[in-house]
Amino acid sequence: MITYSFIGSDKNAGKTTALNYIYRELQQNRQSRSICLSSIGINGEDVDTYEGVKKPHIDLFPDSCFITNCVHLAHQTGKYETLLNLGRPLFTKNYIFGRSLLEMQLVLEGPNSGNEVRNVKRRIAPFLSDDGIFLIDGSIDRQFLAKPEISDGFYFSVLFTERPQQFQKSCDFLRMLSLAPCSKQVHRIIAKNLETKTKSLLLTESYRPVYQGEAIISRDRKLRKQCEAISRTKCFLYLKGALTRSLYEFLAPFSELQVILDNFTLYLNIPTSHHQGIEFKPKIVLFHPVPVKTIFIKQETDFDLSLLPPEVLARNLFRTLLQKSCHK
Amino acid sequence: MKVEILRKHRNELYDELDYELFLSLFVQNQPLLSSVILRPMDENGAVSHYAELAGLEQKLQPGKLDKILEQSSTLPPLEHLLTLVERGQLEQYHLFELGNFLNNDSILRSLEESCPLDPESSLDRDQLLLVLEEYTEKSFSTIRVNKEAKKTKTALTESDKELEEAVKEFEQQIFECTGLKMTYPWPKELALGKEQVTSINDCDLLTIEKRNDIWLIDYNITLDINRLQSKKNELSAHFDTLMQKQLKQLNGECSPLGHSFRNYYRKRVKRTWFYVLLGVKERKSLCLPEFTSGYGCHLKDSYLYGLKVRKEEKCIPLDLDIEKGATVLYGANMSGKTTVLKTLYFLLTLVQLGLPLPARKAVLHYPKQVALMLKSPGDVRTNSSTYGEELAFFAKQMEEGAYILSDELFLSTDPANGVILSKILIRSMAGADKLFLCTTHYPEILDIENITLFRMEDPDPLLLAKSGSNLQSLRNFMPYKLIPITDREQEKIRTNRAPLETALLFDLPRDIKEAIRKHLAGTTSS
Repeated sequence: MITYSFIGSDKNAGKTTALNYIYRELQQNRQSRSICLSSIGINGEDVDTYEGVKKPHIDLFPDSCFITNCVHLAHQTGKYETLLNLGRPLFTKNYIFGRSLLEMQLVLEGPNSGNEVRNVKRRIAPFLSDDGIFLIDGSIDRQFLAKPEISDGFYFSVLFTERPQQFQKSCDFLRMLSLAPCSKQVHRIIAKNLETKTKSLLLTESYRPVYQGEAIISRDRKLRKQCEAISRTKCFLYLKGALTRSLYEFLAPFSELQVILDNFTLYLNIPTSHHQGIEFKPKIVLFHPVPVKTIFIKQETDFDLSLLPPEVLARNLFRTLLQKSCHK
Repeated sequence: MKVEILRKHRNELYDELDYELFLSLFVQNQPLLSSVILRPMDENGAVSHYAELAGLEQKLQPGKLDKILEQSSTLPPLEHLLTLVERGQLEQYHLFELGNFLNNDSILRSLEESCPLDPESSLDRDQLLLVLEEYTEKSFSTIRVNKEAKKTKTALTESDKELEEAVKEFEQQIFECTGLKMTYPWPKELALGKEQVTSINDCDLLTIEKRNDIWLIDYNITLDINRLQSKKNELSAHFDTLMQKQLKQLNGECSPLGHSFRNYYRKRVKRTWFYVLLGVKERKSLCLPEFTSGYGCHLKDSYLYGLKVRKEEKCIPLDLDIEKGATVLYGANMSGKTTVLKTLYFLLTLVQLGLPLPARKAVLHYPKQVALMLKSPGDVRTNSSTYGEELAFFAKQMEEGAYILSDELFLSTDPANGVILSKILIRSMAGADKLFLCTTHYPEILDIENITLFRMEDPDPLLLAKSGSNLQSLRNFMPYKLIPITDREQEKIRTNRAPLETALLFDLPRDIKEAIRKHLAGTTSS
């Protein structure tokens, strides 16, 4: 089973539209593949909170699997078959794993925590073929989605508006998607030294661990002291915790430092309004690289195309081909 | 699954005696028992609880319990839908779990032939299963559709296909007309030149509207697509009506059976807990208490579970035979007197909670009230003294049949007054309908009549000498056994110098040790 998560830079970035689009594309080429759809929390509210317009819902084709809160199946009698009840005590709500028998317009509301999603994956795997596809309508604030055991790939939806803060946020979003993976050697050394509770790991130029922290990294004073002590020479800092504003500012001058974030969601914790004007000298790379499938762009204004990560397919479902609009 | 004692009933020894470790034995994969909260039962409740448990154990066929527990673990919890069955508000997805419950329960019932659960309500239970089987298909996962619904479903599928074809054609026409590749139902925002705007304006299939610097292109649906959409909506609505009707019929048949099923479910949950209790009892060689009409407590091979886990085979089980009245326990320091009290206390509280006991046999009267007084250091915050706390303990109302356990009786005050108070209290308890067990070092207590005297067996002096001053090895040589005190031994207790001898085993300063030796020698010669 392959799991793809859909993540948007903002509300209204067109995440559900992208999910619908990919689902349709997969549906047309599915052959015997099983497809299952779910959402982190609720998806498919009728009306957009901000704009007051109708939002796209999920149209399920017959023979598609889904996971949703049972309350959304109240008026769908006869249109689906129940495959599993995913309820208490393992889950906080009563979710149903089912298969559509007819076309259904369904509100998806799946489990909302890493443990629940892991449980779901374990339970539904026997029902989907090995090459079955699990599509999750995700959310950027759910860091667990970035874990390799949860998502095999991502579809990102990025919104560009003329609001400066929003624009900056989306630029950061694209920068995050362009972050390179750390070298194989560094990856190997970190993986070897990593323990369940490890939040930070500082390695010297010769990859010798000099500090392993279990405290929340933004409050880890020892970590800062160690960084100050060795950061004039080349060194590597692995972080499994948010790259907060204060940490970002603290690390900014260390030009010999390579910061290795556990996953991409940690980069997005830097509040964009604060790091403008700071020259961040360390190189940032990722321990778990972002397997990006496609970036969907929704634009109300132009943006710098070079921000798009190389060799990643970018699409604009709302305008003509992305390249065309950007060359304008 | 979690098993815990209701917080307000957790005693001050909850952590020390490791109740949680003992309770963890009962944590198993039994979905019906997501949370078991234990609280003390009243006497009648406890007596019937253990009688029922013992009765079930007798009826169970040997070797069946594991299979029964395994099958019980397949039953899904249904708490949330019991009311829905009664009120006739079941939805399709409820039928799956209800059906699975009943199906798996039928298999479980076949394993319970020797001890059937609630035979009176089995007819209703079976009827409920029949109704579900009649209205559902594919192991309760889908609603069984009647002829009309089937016909509508087929028409709906065909209508879907027709609509899909029409939409494809519609998209193709747009492409041919404007060169735009549109995917219905998504609109597009485009930056357009004049010519393109004109071409889209001329296309009847699209609408176009200027928004800031771009154009919003949306669809002007054809009559044909509208007609097909309406047809599909009508069929879909009709199908929904038929399904709702069918669901209503099903609910109408289930609802009268709801009350009886609720009772059955409750009994099934209780029975599952009983199986868990008996399973642990069997696996861990525990015992069920036997209640006596008279007052007394007889334990064979009892132990503190946490202590046994830590010490394994080094944990010496406790045998205890005490009757109503006062029982006084003597013994050297570190001989295990306090552990005796704690073991008894632990077992008595487990009886109150309805659990099997860590013992080979336990015959006793039901512990309606259990009070334990351990040596207290006092508390400067509450301005309470050790002596004051001990007096307050004995000032409490103790009902008939109460188990009163007290460690180092009145050692909290000066020895002269401590002896007097001890004598008064023990004499009072000697004639009471209570079970009083205390430990003491005061030899004067030996003179009291009508009390039972025990002492902890002394360690072998040779082994003791080998232990040196190592506290751990010293403990290893303690027999931890209660033995009755004979008349001859009473004199030995009166002249007991064991604490002095034990002190010599420790690395005390040389002058102190010398003084102890002189004292021992003087005492011995005199």
